[in-house]
Amino acid sequence: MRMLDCGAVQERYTDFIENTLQGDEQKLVEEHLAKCPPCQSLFKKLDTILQQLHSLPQAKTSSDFNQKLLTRIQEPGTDTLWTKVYHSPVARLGTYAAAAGLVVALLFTRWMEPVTNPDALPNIANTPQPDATSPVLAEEIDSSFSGTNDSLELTSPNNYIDPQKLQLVNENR
Amino acid sequence: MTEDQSTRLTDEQLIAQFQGGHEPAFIELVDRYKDRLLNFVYRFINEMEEAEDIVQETFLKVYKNRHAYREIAKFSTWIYTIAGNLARSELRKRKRRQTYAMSDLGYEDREFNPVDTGAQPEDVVFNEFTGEEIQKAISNLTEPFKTIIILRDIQELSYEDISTILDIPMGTVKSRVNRARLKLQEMLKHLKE
Repeated sequence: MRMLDCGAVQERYTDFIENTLQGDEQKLVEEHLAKCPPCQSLFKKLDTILQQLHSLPQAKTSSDFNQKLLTRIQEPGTDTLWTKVYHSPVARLGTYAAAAGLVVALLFTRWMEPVTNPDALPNIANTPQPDATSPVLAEEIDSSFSGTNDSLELTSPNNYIDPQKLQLVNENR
Repeated sequence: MTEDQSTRLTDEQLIAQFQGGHEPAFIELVDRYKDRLLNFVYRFINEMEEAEDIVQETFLKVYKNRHAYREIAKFSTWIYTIAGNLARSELRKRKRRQTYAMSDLGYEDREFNPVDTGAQPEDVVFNEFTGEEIQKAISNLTEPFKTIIILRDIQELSYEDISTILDIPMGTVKSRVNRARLKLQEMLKHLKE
């Protein structure tokens, strides 16, 4: 038959007085207590201490506790900016309106920029494009003409005409 | 808000009103908790004036951070957590300034030693202790035991609330309560010897 030693019984004091021991443990503790005066005495002492703890005198706050607290609350810096804004519906509405206005302004700036400031973004229309009728290009083509027949053939290996070269040709004129 | 109306509201309803800007709700919460918290903190730090100051600090934190409260936990566990943290901070500040007779080993480092019931002299008369003796014995407990004795046996909070406040499992709360009680009994026995 299972028995509990003093240590095991003492570990179960709280569950024993609250009647929350599982299975046959409640009975095992009772049986141990019946045969162990020291554990019986300990349990009684613990009961007494608990009763005293439950009935300790309750201190009260001073009569001006609330007043002192309110004074501290009213000191500058007690309320954070956020709590002040959140606290006031008008301030909250104003903050939301300002935030919405900022978002709208940013979006407006972003979308309007290509129309009001065409130089801000690279625009393919502004990039000088080779023009077959321009004299510069004609000269480039002429200088690379190597054929004896009437067909034009570019001698540059990748058939690329460098716009910088075109500009130089213009300047050299 | 009349007194009758305010007494019908729960703590959670009051804090919600306060979050909405109704300051009398805050005052009602102060009135409900100031004495309870004072007793809690006093038992912890063993000084009345300083305990009241810590309770003031607790309510200041509630005032400033009211929007941080969410109704996931009870208001009572929230405010007890704040007060407990402030009390613990104060105690740690003192520890740095003082030396203690008791070992600073934490709860986890201590083995459970059953009370040596066989060694108790049979002729020691067990008398009730004075409030001062009990307070002294509580002060001499290590922090985990002190906290749990105060919350469970003096403040009479539920295991569930204590579990939330201390952020420990319910099973741990119960076993710690038991060990704290045994430890307190040992302390009181030493005071009488």
